[in-house]
Amino acid sequence: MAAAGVLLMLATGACSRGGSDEQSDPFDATAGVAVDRELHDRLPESVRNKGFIRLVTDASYAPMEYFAADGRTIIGFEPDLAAALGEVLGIRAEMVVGPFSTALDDVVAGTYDGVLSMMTDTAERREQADFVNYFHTGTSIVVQRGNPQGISDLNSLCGKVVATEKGTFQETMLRRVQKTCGDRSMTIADFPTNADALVQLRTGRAAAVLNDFPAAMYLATGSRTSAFFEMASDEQYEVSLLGIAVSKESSELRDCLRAALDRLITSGVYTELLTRWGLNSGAIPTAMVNGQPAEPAAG
Amino acid sequence: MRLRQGRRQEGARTSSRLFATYAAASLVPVVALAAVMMQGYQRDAAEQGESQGLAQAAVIAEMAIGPALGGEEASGARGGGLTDGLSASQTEGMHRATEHAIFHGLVLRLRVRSFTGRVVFSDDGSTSGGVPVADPDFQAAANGGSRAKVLNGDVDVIRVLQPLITSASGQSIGVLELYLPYEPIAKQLREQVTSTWWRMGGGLAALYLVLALLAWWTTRSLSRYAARQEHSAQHDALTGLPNRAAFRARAETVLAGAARDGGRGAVVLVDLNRFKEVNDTLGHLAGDELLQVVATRMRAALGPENILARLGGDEFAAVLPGLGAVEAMALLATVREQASEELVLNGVPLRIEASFGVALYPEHGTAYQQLMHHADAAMYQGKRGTTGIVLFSGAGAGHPHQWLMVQAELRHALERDELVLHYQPKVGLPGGEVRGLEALVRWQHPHHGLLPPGEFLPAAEHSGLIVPLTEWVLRRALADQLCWTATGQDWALSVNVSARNLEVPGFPRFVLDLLAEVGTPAHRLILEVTETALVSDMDTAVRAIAQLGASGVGISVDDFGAGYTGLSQLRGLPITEIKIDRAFVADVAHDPQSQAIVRSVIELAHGLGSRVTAEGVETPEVCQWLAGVGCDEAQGYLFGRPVPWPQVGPVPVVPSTEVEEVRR
Repeated sequence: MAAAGVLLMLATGACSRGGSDEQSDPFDATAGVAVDRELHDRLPESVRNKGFIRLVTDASYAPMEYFAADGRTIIGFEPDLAAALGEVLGIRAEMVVGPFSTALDDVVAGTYDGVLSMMTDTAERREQADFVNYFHTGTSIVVQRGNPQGISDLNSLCGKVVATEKGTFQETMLRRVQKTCGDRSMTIADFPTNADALVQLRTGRAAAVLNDFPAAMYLATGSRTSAFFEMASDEQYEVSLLGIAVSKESSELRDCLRAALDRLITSGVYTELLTRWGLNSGAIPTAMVNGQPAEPAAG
Repeated sequence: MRLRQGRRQEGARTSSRLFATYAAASLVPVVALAAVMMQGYQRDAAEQGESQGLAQAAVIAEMAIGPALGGEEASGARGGGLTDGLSASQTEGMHRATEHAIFHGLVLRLRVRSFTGRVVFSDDGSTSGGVPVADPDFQAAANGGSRAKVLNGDVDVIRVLQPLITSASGQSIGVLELYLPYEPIAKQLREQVTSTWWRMGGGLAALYLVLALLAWWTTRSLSRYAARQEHSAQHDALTGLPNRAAFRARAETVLAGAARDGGRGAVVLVDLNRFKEVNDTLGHLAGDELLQVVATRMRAALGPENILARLGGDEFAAVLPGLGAVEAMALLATVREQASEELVLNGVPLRIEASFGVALYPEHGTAYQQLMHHADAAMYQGKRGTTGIVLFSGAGAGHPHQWLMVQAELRHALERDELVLHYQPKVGLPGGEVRGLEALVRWQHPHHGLLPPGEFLPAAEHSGLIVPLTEWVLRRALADQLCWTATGQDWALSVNVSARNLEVPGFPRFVLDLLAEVGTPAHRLILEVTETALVSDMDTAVRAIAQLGASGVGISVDDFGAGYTGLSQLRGLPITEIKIDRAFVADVAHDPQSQAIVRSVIELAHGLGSRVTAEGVETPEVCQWLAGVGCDEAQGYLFGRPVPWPQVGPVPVVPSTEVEEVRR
């Protein structure tokens, strides 16, 4: 398997070196991205035939993924990453809006080819799907500007109402904390989207919302949101890997995505995209599957 | 007068036309400004109306429609929008959220559209109608933009198309089509526009008023300035009379009118006598004052129907329309009389005489130039004579044009020796013996015969020919004197010398050299100078007289009393003889005033150590009187007319008995 991995690397490298179809576009800043025929050919036949994959996302999580001013276009780091991956693979990687809580189930059911929605790679979820890791981050506590409820850490959430997006890693975190609260019971209100949870916080119906650190930072510093939100502390809880959830049935797709991500990392496009969205702190050195570098994944 | 009024009316017309142009020209930018401002303001108002509509629609969408369509059903799950329509609960929620606003007319029509244009909800339940999908406003709303448009119909309506956003994540799921009443907004805008109209209209009207006032003021100043300029271009600054150009224009108008209508009239040129003396002795300011006084007097005497102008210097001109020779001469006599009334300048009382030359039209011509020439000729004739007012008398007058000819011929005359000298004796009183002869020049003209000095001396004086002429006379007379000396007569020789001679440097030297040349003692020559010579350019003349006098040449003051010789000017000069002007001598036998003057002059002359000679003695009576009062010498027809010297004969003896009578 290791040999195969090496072969793969060599093959892709050879292909890249000898590729006659490599075009450099002077008008594209990410011109290092080029179609890798070898990877393309390794894609599942169905994907190759239709020419695209559909990745489900909940576009309420700036700056990772959110709606542009037109209310229809999804923008953010993850749409950019998907596009770059698609370019390497020679297919279109479409972002499709869907509820986060059912996203994994939809992928397992085959509705979508994957979840690209800042999904934390947890052991529990690995039972359902494989994760192509592309980022790592911890969780921060977002409160109203001025922190009127005096939230300082996770324990201080006891006795408060905390809003969260349904089905997220943060929800499971809260459930764990909830159990330690004792008689100062914590009320967890879950909502279909992260935006809905933030509405609760903005309108004072919730004391806090747990967000991944980049999203929390964006809220606390963005021009439209910083007047209403801040982070309770700089602390990041439970730093974890995040990944594109892919059905266990589609190991070819999973490996191709990992290889394509590696290509982006080595070519610098990955860093470029992180820089554009101010997410360099979450960079990972190499693409992994389920937290393991290429060899174990390939094995 | 009519002419001037006409011109003023014309000026006023030009001025008001200019004002109208200014007013119209300034109205253009004011109106343009008003139009541009109003258009801009109306556009702003319309945009304001649209943005009010957008704001209302945004509030309605966010506060009523968003929540009604929101919830779990709408969020996320409906990534593709409203293609499948609304659920029953959503429809019910929409009705509940909007029915009151619709019922009360706050919203006139409401449609929820999918991106494909399908009507998934409407206020009245219909699923047809609405903006076409291809409409740019719909497309803009489908792509996140909001558009408002005012629809004018029976009722003004503002139509708003905007994205339908129902979730906190900002996802747009369709297009909201709203029709809101525009009347309240429009009413407010109309009021704003109206009040702006009034304020701006008032401001612009005030601005225009200011501009119009400025234009009026400017045109008025301009036309006044133009009138002043025109006046000063046509008038003499000193006297306020029309100037030469204006006179010519007016005179030509009058002459043209006369030629057309067969009218008549007179053209008059006036020249003040001895004005130069006033200027020289009393100064230019006095001269100017004199001109003003004389101009005023003549203007008053002429009356408004006649034209009077100052041509320059001491020269005036007049046109007397409608007057014949007799009336013109009568009027001019009055003018002359009034003009020459005594006036006081710098404390000096004086009387200024004027010479008038008159030419009549159509008798003497009809052209301006011609008449002016004739009047000029007549005036010069008058200057030489005593009448003062001379009517042009055709040929023979000392025409200024003829002067040029006279000057030319005189040059030849000197060369050809056509001039002759006649002599008039001066006799001693009371004895009656001839004491001296005064040389008087005549011109034996090849065509015109013997001409008196009056015919050519003015021209000679004018041209500078007087200098060679005087030299010629001196030379010839001294030669003649030699002759009569040879016959045993010891008569002294008197020669008239003009002021111009005295002004020529080296004249005394010339005389003395000549005397030496012919070998005549200086005291046998007497140079007669006029009073004018003593006052004009005094320095040179006085120095010449002093030099000649010092050399023994006799100096005689001719025509004493006729001019304005200041007595102070006689002081210090070597005057050997004073000749009393014939004007005082003529009636000295009867007029006590003349007698007083003559007596005083005699006394004065004797006091200065001079001889006294009376001019113009024509009767024995006068001669006796003069002898009686101690006059030294006499001259006149009584003793002989000017003749060639060989014909100077014995003079009549004056009876001494009558002298006694006169004395008594």
